[in-house]
Amino acid sequence: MKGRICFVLLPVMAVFSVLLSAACTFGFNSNRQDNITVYLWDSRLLDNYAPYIQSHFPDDDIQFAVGNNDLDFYQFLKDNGRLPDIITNRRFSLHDAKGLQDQLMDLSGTEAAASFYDTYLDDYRNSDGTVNWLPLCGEVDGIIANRALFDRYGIPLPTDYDSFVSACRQFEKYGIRGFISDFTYDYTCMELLQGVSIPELLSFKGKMWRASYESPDVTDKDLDDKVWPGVFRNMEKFIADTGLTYEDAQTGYDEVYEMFRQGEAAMIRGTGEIAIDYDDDSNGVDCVMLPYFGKDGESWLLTYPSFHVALNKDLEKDPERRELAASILKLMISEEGQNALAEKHDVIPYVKDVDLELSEVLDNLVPYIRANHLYIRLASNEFFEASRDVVQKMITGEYNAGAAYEEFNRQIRGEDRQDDTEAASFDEAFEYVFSPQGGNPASSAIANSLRQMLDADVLISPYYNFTGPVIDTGYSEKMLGYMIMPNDCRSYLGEMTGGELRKLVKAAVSGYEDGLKPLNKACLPVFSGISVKVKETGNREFEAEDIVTNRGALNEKEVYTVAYIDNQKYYLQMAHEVFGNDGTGVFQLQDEYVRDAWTGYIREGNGIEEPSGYITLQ
Amino acid sequence: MNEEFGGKGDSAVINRKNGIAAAICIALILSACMIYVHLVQRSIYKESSVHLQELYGQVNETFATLVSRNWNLLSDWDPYIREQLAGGNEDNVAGYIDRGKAKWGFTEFYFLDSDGGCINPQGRYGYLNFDSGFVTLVRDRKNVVIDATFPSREPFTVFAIPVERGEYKGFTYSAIAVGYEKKRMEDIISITAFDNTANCQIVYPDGRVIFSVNSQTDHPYNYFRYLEKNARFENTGMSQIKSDLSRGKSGTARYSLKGIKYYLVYEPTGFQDWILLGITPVSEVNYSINQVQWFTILIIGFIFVMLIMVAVYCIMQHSRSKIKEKDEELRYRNQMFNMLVNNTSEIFVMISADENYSVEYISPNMESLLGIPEDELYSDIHRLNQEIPGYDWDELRKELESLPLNETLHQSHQRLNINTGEVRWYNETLYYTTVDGQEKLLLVMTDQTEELRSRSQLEQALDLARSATQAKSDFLANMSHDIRTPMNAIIGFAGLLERNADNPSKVRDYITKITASGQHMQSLINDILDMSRIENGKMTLNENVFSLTEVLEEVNTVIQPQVMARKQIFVISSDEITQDIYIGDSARIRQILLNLLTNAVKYTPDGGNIELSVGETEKLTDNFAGLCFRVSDTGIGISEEYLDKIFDPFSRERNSTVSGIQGTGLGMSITRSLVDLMGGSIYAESRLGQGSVFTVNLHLKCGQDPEIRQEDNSGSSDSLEGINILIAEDTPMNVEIILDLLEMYGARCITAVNGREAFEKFEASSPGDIHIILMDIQMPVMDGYEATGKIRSCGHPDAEIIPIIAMTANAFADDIQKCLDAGMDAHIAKPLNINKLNKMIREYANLFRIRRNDLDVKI
Repeated sequence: MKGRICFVLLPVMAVFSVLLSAACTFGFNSNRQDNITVYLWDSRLLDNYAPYIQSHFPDDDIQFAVGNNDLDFYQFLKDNGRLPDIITNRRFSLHDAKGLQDQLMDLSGTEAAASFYDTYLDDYRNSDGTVNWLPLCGEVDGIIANRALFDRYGIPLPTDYDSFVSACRQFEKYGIRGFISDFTYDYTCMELLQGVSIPELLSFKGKMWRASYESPDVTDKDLDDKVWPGVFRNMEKFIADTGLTYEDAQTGYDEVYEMFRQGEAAMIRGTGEIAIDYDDDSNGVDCVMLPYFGKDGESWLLTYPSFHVALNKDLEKDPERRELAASILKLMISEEGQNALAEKHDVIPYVKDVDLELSEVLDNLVPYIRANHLYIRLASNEFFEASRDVVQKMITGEYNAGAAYEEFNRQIRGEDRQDDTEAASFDEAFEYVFSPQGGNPASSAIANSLRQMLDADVLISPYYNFTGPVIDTGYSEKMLGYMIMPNDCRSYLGEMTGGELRKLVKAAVSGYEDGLKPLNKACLPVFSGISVKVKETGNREFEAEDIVTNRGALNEKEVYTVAYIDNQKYYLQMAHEVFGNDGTGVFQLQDEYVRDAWTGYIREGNGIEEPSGYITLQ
Repeated sequence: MNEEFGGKGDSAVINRKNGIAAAICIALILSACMIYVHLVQRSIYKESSVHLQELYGQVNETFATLVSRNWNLLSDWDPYIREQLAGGNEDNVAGYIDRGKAKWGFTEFYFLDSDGGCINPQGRYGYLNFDSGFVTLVRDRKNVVIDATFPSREPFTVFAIPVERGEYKGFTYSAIAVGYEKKRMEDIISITAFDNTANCQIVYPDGRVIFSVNSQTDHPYNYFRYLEKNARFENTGMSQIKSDLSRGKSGTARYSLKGIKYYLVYEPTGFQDWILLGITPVSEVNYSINQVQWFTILIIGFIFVMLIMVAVYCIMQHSRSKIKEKDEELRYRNQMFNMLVNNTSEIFVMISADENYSVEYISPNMESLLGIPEDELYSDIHRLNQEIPGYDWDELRKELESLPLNETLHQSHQRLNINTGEVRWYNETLYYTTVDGQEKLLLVMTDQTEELRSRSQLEQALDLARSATQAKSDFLANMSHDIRTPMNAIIGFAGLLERNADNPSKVRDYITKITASGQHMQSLINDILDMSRIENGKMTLNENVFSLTEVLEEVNTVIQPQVMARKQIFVISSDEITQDIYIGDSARIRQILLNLLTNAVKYTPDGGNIELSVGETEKLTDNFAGLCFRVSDTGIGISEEYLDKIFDPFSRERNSTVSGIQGTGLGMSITRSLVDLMGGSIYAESRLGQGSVFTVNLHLKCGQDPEIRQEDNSGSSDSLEGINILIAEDTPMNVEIILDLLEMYGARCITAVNGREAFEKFEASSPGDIHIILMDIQMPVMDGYEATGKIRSCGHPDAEIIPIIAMTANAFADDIQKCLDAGMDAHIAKPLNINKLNKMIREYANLFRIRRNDLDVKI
């Protein structure tokens, strides 16, 4: 009898031990984050896209963060073992993504990938057949024309290159710039450079070269001598034909926007989104999108995905998290998800079974779209950089086509590239994980440091301004800057009473009526200099209950120096809600962009502050 | 106890062995089943693989045919198109192509340039996305199949062939193509077999799906990667599959995905390294076979289960019956034990060997044997010995404490049954032993009372036997004397006779004395034989019809000479005898009376009186009457002490008077035995010096007058003249005696020395020559019984009527009956009484004559 009992107990104990050890091994990794982290490439996606995604997962708190539109930031995180779960970016090339390939999930065997048109996904297929990135709905890029202006002056809308040039010259007679663009931006330079030579780039030779260039296995990245010289010649001709001058090389978006809106420019380079924005503007411009006019009468649209999405391979270790991430991905690529991403502007679907509906603004492009005259831009980092430099210099006249070609080639070969030197290093690491008792340590450390930098009593920041963990490693200047997002994050400094501060804190916690609301507890604002007790009143509804400063309880009458950091758009939302105005009289915009200030602050040898508990969630 | 422990260990070992054997059997059976299933599965797999390869091969052929057909179509059209375009007849081309479209069902026709640009016959431009297929078309100038996409349109497939450069509507083309919507293509390669569960895919060499038909499986982008990540292959893995495909080989594999098993058939399509994959659920392919297989397994399993159940049932029943047997055996043993215990005179008590000496078991017969209730003993063991005089518990405890293990203590006590008051002797043994490892005292009380009693009886019997032996020795000594005495007289007087042969007076005297001695010795011998038969229980009575009067006359005839010699007065009186004829053993009645009267003569002095009175006692029934015979005398009487033993064998009174009187001491014992045998009673009364009275009461069956035998009245009463007698006797002396005796009476005798000779002589005789046959029994060659039988059956006219008289020393009833059964008519005992013989001869000779006359035969 005892023997029988032993025979039963022994295997039970063995199984129990195995399960226990398995649980210990797999269940409680100190680095495991319970929430799925989704990095969006731009803070604009926080307005509607992030809430849309969160709304589909009521049982899970998705920690959203703002990444960057290139892959360098993710590469840095990946090199330090902190690649987020779901990453998105805008500027993509297989070549640039090679460094991340081994840490990304292979999606080639999934139905998600199968939902794409094979021809589009071919550009994302690694040489080993794996697919790590999926492109989401293509932005349409072309020439936005002020139709009203054309009608006013009786100039027909261009239908080919010659008529485009003709239109430009005709407008010149009226003192109207036929064509301008914000050449200060790399993307404008790059897209125009490629846009004016799409037929060449899509020729057989052009495609062959591109396949070679895009291949991660090819190390010699040269422009070919068959297609690309012609590309620069086309650019040179375009510059000449459109009358671009030296001053145009540094034109910014606002200036271009204003000129176009004022009817001082007839055509600009832009996307469908911009065209619709112009059209919707209260001082709307009757826009129509035109393709890039190639020679021989072929006209093309330049497209690029709104963003690319990839999943961390580590998700496969946890079936629950993997499933959640797969569900988020599925939502992103669904028709509804892509519509949510596109919001109101028109996009080219890369997936099958998604209907193309174009608004009137882009109605003109339908024939080109249906003819598949769509060119997906080559968007490697080096291309962006080289394009800006070379095209600007072509506009300024410094380079002719040949010189531009040579210079471009030289730059993409990386001859002048300098390795990123270490600008600073941190001795201590703080994880980018929200805890209901204390908050996000990494965000707190940066916030505390910024508060010190700004010399404020209190600092308030939306969560998305801080991009990731503080890693105990060396940081290049670029990576230091990437610790703060978005690019246009500004700091506002002011003094207010405790009562006003309380109001501001409450609004930050509960969200702004016409602005952002914390999507979940991980998206609660970051405070420095105060500690806030927050109560979850409903389904992801939060309310600040108690505020304690570093000096003690918040004194309603006492005056505090408060720093608020955010981009201008969201700052204004806050200011209107809290103060009833744009913050005048309360806050003062600081000159320096936060990123730049932060980078400089750290490079000066200022260390990063220790995190402090700034929030207690009940 | 040790046996008990050993038994437990043995059963555990047996159980373990049985368990191991059962486990091995089960393992073997399972292994056999698994092997069977595996073999069947492998066969099914092979068969299914062949079947599926055929099926998908057909699909592949269909697809290849489609591809070839389209390429051929284009090849056929190219010259016509070229010709028409050369002639400027672009509209003709458009119309021609439209007709072809209607006929062949393709979606669109394209003129392609080397950059991927295209134009349809209607002049609509487009662009076919660049892929490796296009490179093959443009660079390698080979026919291709290209996957094409137009935004917001169904994906479609383009079949293109390179052609000589041409121009259509200002578009310079170097290839022409037809396009089909992918769905259309997928319909062509769809399979409806297996209930539409089959999935057919055409993939690139790296696994990217080009076409996928069937909606039941997942639709990944890259099927190879999908399988590598999610499928679990049973035999061939993806690496092997890729290797096969790289070498242009096709094959079949099997894998599991999301709990479902699939067959995967892979084969190159034969162009552009495209691969056709056929994915079919195993359950669908093997549906029928699986049905059969599972049905078979179910049946076998059912049978197996039933067999198991039957076996289990049988085992259970066997176990139950075994258990029942065991229970019954136990119950039987318990019953037997209880019965044994209850019916045995042994009492068992189990007592713990600790200081409390508490009672653990008392046999149920305690109360019945000793009258002590069990519960009294359970509460106090000392109750057991309270009745024993001088019981000292302390002393007993000392003995117990000093008693070594496995030793015993013996005691004997006389115990009183409290209930019955009976005193019994008990031999008590106390065993100090271990039971189940615990020390116990086992008290066994054995009733020795009967044993002791038997011993006493045996001792008494021994004394009796010794006395009887002594009496026998005395008897033999006396008998030796009593026999020797007449024998001496016979021999002595025979000697004197020889010497005085010429003196007739002496001769007569001597003959008389010799005769008397011989008769006395005969009487002695008869007594001894009778006593022997009585003691052996072989004494039997003859039943014959007799007259009481005749018997009394006979008795008188015998006694009269004796009483006359002693000048005694002998009287026979009867008192109202109503019944004279009885059925019984008259000889034994005579013997009884003669014994009593002889003793009366012996023990009555000269001149005394002896009387025999006979009376009827109450008549019991019409058929039975009671007779009372009284023999009284005025003799010396019998002492009181001897009167109790007078009927004991070999007993004679020891006094000076009796010692001078001859006698064996058997007569009264024989008389008593005969009376007892007849169911009567005998008792004696006597007074010393005054005489004795012996009274015999008998109950006899009343009879009717016997057949009157006619006496022979011819001649002298004892003359045997004219009678021919055949004498069968083997002893010459006896023959001589008989001859002399019979011839002396005038009989004519012939002799035979054995039964055969007697038979032969009779058979050879003429009818009426022989009147009587005297047949000895014990003869050589042929005894008397056989000879009689042969005579009776021989067919001689006189065979059945010739009187045969047996002569034998055996005179007992059964001997007589045996002779009569053999066919003889009468019996006479040896030594022969001549008078009796004479009379018998005359009677039966007369009888023979009568029988012969009856048969009309004249003597």
